[in-house]
Amino acid sequence: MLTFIGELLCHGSNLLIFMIIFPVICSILLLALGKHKAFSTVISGAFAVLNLLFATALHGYGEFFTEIPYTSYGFEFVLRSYSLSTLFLLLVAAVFSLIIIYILNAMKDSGHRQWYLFYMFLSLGMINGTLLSEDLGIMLFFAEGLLAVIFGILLLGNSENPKAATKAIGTLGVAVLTFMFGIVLTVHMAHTGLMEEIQRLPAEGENAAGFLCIMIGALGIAGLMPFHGWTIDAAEDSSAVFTAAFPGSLLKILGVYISVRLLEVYGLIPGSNAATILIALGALSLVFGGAMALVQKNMSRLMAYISTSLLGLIVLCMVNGVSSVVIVTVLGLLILLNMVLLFTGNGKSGSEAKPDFEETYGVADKVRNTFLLKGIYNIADKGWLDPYNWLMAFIGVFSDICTTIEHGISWIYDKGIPGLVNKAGTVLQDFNTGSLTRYLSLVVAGVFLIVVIFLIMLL
Amino acid sequence: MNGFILIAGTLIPLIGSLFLPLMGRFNEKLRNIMALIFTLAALICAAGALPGVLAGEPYSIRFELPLGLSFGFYGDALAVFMALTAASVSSVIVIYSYGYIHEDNQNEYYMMICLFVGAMMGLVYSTNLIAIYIFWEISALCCWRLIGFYRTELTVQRANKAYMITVFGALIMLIGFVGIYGQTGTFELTAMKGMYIPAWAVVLILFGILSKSATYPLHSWLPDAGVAPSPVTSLLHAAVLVKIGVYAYARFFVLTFKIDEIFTAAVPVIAAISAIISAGVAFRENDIKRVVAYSTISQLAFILLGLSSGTKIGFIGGLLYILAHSVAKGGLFLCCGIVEHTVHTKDIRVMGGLAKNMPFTALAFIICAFSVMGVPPLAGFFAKHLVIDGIVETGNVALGAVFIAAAVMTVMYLTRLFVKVFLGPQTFPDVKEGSPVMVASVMILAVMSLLLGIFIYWPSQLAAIAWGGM
Repeated sequence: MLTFIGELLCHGSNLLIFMIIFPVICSILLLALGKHKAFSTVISGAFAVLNLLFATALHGYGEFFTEIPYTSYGFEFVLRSYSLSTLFLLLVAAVFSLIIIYILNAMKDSGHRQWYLFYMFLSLGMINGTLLSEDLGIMLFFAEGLLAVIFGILLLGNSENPKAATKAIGTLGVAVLTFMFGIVLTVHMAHTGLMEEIQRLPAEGENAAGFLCIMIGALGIAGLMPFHGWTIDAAEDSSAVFTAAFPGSLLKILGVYISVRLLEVYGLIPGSNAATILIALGALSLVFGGAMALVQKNMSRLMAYISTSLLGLIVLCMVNGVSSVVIVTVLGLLILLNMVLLFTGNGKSGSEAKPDFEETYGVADKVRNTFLLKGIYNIADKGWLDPYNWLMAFIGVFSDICTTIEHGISWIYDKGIPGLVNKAGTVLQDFNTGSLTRYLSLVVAGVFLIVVIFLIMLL
Repeated sequence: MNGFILIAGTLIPLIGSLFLPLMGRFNEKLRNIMALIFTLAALICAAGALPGVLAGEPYSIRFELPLGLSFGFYGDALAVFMALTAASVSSVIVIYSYGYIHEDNQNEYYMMICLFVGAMMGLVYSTNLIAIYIFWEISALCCWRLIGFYRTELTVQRANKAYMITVFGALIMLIGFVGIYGQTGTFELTAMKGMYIPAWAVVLILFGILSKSATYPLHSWLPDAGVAPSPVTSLLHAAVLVKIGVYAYARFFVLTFKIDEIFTAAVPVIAAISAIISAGVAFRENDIKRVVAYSTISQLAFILLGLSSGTKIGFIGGLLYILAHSVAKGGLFLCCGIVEHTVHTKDIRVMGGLAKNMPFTALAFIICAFSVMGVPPLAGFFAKHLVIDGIVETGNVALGAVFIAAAVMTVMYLTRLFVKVFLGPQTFPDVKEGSPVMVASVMILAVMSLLLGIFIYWPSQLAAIAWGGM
C-alpha cells in the first residue's frame, strides 16, 4: 500500500486520480471547518482554481491512463483522459468555477453556504470521476453517487417540503437503474467493461436493448423526457444556484458526454428501431420543452423547460451524426444561458424568480389561451402529462395487487392452517367416540396415504 | 491447534450464555459487559481464522465419534466471511441493547442473544449435516424466545408462528439430510464434495432454506416478527438469522453438491417473485418495521439470485450482498427502534419532521437506506451490480429486468419511508434524540456501510476465495 502511494505521487498520469480526490478532500474540509467564512472562501477558491488548472493541463497534454488496483471484483478502476473527456472536463471546471464564485458572493450570509460548498465539491469529484472513467461500471459508480448529493442539496432549507427531493431521487433512480441495466447488458455482449476494448457493437438485434437502456439512462440523468419532471419541480422549490448548476449545466454536460462516448462504443444504424426511439424522445423533448417554456411566468421553470428542449435538440444532432462541434456549441449555449440568468437574476429562490418581460408583454397568457392549445395546457397543469405521475400511479396499482396477494398468503398461515388443524382435531374427536367401522376406515385411509407417499418418493 | 480457534469462537458464546442469567442475578452491569465480551470473542476468533484462509490452508478440526460418526469444524473463506459478518453486527446490537432493553427479563434476553451467536458460529463452521441441523434448531429456539420477549398474547402468537414455520421447514430439510445419508453413507460435507444429489432431496432441503430465509411463500413469519424488540428484529430478522438460509444454499448447492440444472433456473424465478411482490407490499405498508421487514424479504431474494446464478460474479455479489445488507438493514431496524422508542408509535402516517429533533438518527437512517438502495460509494452498490451481472451472464435478461424493477421499487419505498418519518412538518416537536448508546450504535453501522464500500476490495477478495469451496 505504501509503495502504491509513493508511486501515486510520482507519476504524472496520477493527475487523473487527483482530479477526483482533491474535490472530495476539499468537501470534507469544508464540512469540518467551513463555518469559518474566511477559511471556506480561501479553500473553495483555491480548489476551484486548482481544478481549472488541472483540467487545462490535461486538455493540453494528450492521453493519460492510470489504474487503481484496490477495487471490487468485477470492476476495473481505470481512468483515461483524451481529447473528448478533457474537453468536457474543462467545461465542467469552467462552469464549476463560476458556480463557486456565485456561492461565495451571493450566499455570503446564507446559513446553508457551508453545506452548499460541501455538496458542490463532492459532486465535482463524482463528475470528474464519471468523465475520466474508462470502465462502464466505474462510470456508473460515480454517476450514481450524484443521487445522494442531489437529494441532500434539494433538502437544504427545504426539509418541510421534500416534494422536489423525493421526485428527484425517484426519477433519477429510475434513470440510473436503467443505465445500470444497459451497462450490464453491454458488458455481457462485449465481455469487457473497458470502453476502449469494446469492439464496435451494432446497436440492433440483441444489442439494441443494451444500447437503448444505456443511452436512455444516460440521457435521463441529463433530464431528457420522460425524466425531465423533477427538474421543473426543483426549479420551483430549490435555489437558483442549484437549478443553474445541476439540471441546468453539470448534469447536461455529464449526460451528453456519456452519450457521445457510448456512440463510439455502439454503432448506431440510421433508420434502426433504436435510432427511431432516440429520435422520438429527442423530438418530444424539443417540442414539449419549447411549448411549455412559452407559457411559464416563473424564470426558473422557464429555464428548466428551455434546457429540456435544447437537450432534445442535442439528442437529435447526436443521433443524426451531426458534427460534435455543433453539439458542443448547443451545449455551451445552454450553459451560457443558465449562467447569465444566474448572475443577472435577483438571486431569489426558484419560486420567486419572475421574468420581467412577462409583466410587459403577457406572452404566457396569450399562448396559453390560444385555441386548441388551451386544452393541452390545462391537462399539463393538472400533471397528467408528467411521466413521473404515471409511474407512481402504476406502482400504486401494482402495490395494491401485491398487498392482496400478501393478505391471501397471510390468511393461509393465520386462519387457514390453524382452522384446518382445528377441524382435523374435531373430526378425530368425533371418530374417537365412534364405532369399529370408523376406526377401520381411518386405518385404511392412513395406510393408503403412506403408500401414495412411498410411490411418489420411489418415482 | 489452529482448529481450536473455531471451537473457541463457537463455545465461548454458547457456553458463556448459560452463565449470564447467574451473573445477572448479582450484577446487571457485569452481565451486560460479559454478553458483549462473548460476542466480541466470536468476532476475534473469526478474525483469527482469517490468516488460514488467506494462506490457502483453512483451519479445521475433526473429532471421530463412536458408531462411525464424525464431527468437524472447518474455517474456509465462506465460513469466516459469514462468521465475521454475523459477529460484528451482533456486537453492535448488544451495545444498542444497553440503551433499549429495560424490561424485567433481561437475563433471558442476553442469554438468548449469546446463545444465538454461538449457534450461528457453530452452524457456519460445522461440516456435519446433523451438527448443522442442531445449531439450526438452537437458533430457532432463541428466535422463538426473543420474538415473544414482551410476553403479551400477540407477541407469543407471532413467536409461535415464526417458530412453527421455521421448524416445519427444518424438519423437512432433515428428511432431506437423512435421504442424502441413505445415498452417500455419510453426513460429512467434506466427503460429499462434487456428489450428485437427487431432485427430491434438493426440494426437501430447499424447504428449510426458503423458510429460514423468508422467501415466498414461506416468508409470512418475518413481517409479523416485528413485534419483537428492535435489537431482536435487527439481529434475527435482518442481520443474522435470515442469512442462515442463504448461507446454507451457498454451502450445499454451490460449493458442495451437484444438483439438477432445473434448480438453477427455478430458484432465481422463486427469488424474483419474492423480490417483486414483497417490494410492492413494502410500498403500501404504514408500520415502520413492517416496511423494513418486507424490504428484507425483497433483498434476501437478491442474495438468493446471486448465489443461485451459478456464476462466480453472481456468487461474489451474493456474498457481498449478505455483508452489505446485514450491516445496513441492521442499522435501519435499530433506527426504527430509536424512532419507536421516542414517539411510541410505529405508524408512519402520524410521524413527520423527526430529522429536526433526531438529526443523527436521520443521518444514520439515510446512509443505511442508501446502501440498501445501492447508491455508491456504499457497499450495497457493488453487491447489487454484481448480482444482476451474474444473472445476465447466464443469458437470463428477463429476470435481470425484473430485479431492476425490484431495485426501482426499493428506491421508492425507502424514500417514502424516510420522507414520511423524518421530513415534512413536525408532528412530534417535543421528542428528543435517542440515548447516546443507541445513537452511537446506529452511527457505527452507518459508518461501517460507508467504509465497506470504500474498502470493498478486501471483502470482495475474501468472497472470491470462497468461490473455491471446501
